This record gives sequence, C-alpha cells and structure tokens, in this order.
Amino acid sequence: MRKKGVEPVLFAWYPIIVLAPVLALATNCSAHVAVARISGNSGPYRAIVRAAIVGLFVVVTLTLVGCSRLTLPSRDVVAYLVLNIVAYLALSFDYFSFVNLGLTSLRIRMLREIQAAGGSLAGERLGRLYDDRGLTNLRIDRLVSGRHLVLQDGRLYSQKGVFLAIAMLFDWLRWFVVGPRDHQGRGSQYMQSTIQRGKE
Amino acid sequence: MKVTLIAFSLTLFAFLTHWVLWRIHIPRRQTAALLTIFSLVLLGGWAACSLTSVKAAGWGLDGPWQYLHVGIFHTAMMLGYVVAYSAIEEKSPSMTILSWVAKAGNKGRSREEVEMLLLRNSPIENRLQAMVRDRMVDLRQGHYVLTAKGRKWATVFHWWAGLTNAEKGG
Repeated sequence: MRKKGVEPVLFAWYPIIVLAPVLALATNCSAHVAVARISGNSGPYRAIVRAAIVGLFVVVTLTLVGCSRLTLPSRDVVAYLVLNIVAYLALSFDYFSFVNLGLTSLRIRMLREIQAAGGSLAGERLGRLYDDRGLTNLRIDRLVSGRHLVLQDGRLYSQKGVFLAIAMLFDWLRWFVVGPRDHQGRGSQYMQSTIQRGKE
Repeated sequence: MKVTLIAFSLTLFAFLTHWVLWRIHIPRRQTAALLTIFSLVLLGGWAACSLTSVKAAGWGLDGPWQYLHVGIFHTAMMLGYVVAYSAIEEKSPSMTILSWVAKAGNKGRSREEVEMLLLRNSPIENRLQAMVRDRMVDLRQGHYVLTAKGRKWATVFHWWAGLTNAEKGG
C-alpha cells in the first residue's frame, strides 16, 4: 500500500505513462502515412487530421490504462492526462508543420526542382519556372477560391473566417511577444513602405 | 500532480524569461536564442529538483522516469513554440494579404494594390537569397547548386512526399 501524500514511485506502468505522448506521435505519423496512401490525393489535410485523432486516442488510452494499473487518485489521473495531452498536441503541431512545409513551402519546392535537375539549375531557368507575378496571382486566387477573400467589381474584400482569425491572433501574439515597437511585423513595415513608394 | 506542476512551471518560466529578454533586446538569431533559453531552464529545473532542500520541501523529482516526463513535456512545448514563433517572426504572404485587406474594411483593396504589395518584395528572389544564406544552395556562375545540406533537405521531403502521396509544395 502506498503512503498517503507520497508521489507514486516508478512501477512498471509509469514508463508507459511517461512515453505515451511519444508513442502517440509515432502512431500519428504511421496513421498519416497509411491514411494518405489509402485515400490518395483527396485532400492532404484530411489525412493529417484523422491521424492526429488516432494519436490523441492512443495518448489518452495509454495514460488512463497506466494510471488505472497504478491505482492513482483521480487528481493525479487528471494531472497526468492534462500533461500528456498537451505534450502530444505540441508534438503533433510540430509534425503538422513539417508536413505543411512539404506541401506549401516554395523553398522546398525549389530545392526539389534543383535536385530533380541533377543538383544544379540555371537561375534563368528557375526564373522561368517561378515568376513573381505568377506566384502572387496564385496566392490571391487561392485566398479567393478558399473563400478567405471576396472579389467583387475588381476589389478584394475580407471574409470573416478561421484564417483571418489566425492572422489576427498572430498579429496580437507579435504585439504581445515582440512589443509595441515592432508589433505589426515585417509584413506591415513592408506594406507601409510599399504604400509610401506608391504615393511617391 | 507534482510532476505536472513542475513541468508547467518550468515551461512558463522559460516563456517569461524569453518575454522579458525580448523586451530588453531582440537577439539576431532568435530561434537559436529561444532553444538556448528553454534548454537552460530545463537543465536548471532538473538541477533544482535534485537538491536535497527542494526534495525535503516536497518538490523534488523521484527517479529518472519523472525527470524524463518533465523533459518530454518541456521539449515538446519548446519545439511547438519555436515553430509558432517562426510565424510571429516573419508574417507569411497570405496572412499579410488577409490582415491588410481586413484593415481596409468596407472599402476593400484593388487586386493591383495587393499584387503590388507582394511584388515589391520580389518573393522568388528573396527566397533564393535566403536559401543561399542558409547554405541550402550555392550560386556558381549563374547556377544554383545544391549543397550537402540542401540535398539532405530535398531528399527528406522527396522521400516523405513519396510516402504520403503528396504533391510538390509552393
């Protein structure tokens, strides 16, 4: 019997609780590969979300099973559950960012293009493959087709949604972390100088 | 309960340390500075939890698995914050457009204005310069040549895209 007030010492099941977020991440990655291969190219983000849910199930199950084997009091069960779920969500966010980089990053795309050309590519040819105007139009078109912006009579209007909320959240975080001296970020500084040049 | 409180406290302490330091001076290599701060706080926290006086007060960690538990949580939070921080450090073009158009309210922005906003920044040229700066590629006589580092990154993403049936990004 465990003495009252003493932290549960390290029985065989405690390592399972400790490693639960890492095991859940491994499950998440494996499930993502499996779901992506089965479902083909039908929306890469759907596969990522499904795999993340499988991982979440694994972390909760392992933590609960481990805690029940150790017969921990309910406050410790809740504490371990919170600790492991938050750790797993952070790890999943890292994994999502890695996958997203491969899906959306222009730098990664150019690296792969150079590799496909045998490891070297003329700047002129890269310039023909990727031009600034094409890239800019693609971004605007994506935002319009994704209904984040509305194009009406040649003007773009904001559409309230998750993406805009995320953009606002990051504006606020920039202000909170970096402070008022640079709270609008490089993008806004750039915008202001662009507008100024436009006026000139 | 104790492990959870220690883990959350260490992460909070690392964040507050970074927040205060950033108010005084923003370092040039921000990601490296963040990794250093979070790692030092973890090491300091581990050291403090092994002190006899701290253990006597009921705040010590018992055995390697509890140290590892705190370490896994702290490392996961550190990496998650570093990833999120990259979006704080440099706004993505899509986010820039969204908040800029939103700020115009009912007047909106013309497509030309938005195009000009991004085009003045020469996005392709900027990325190529960043790749040279990060030693992903070398620029030799007008040719972009993959470095060993760039080749590794390209191979990892190529392999991963093949595994998950993903298309090229960009």
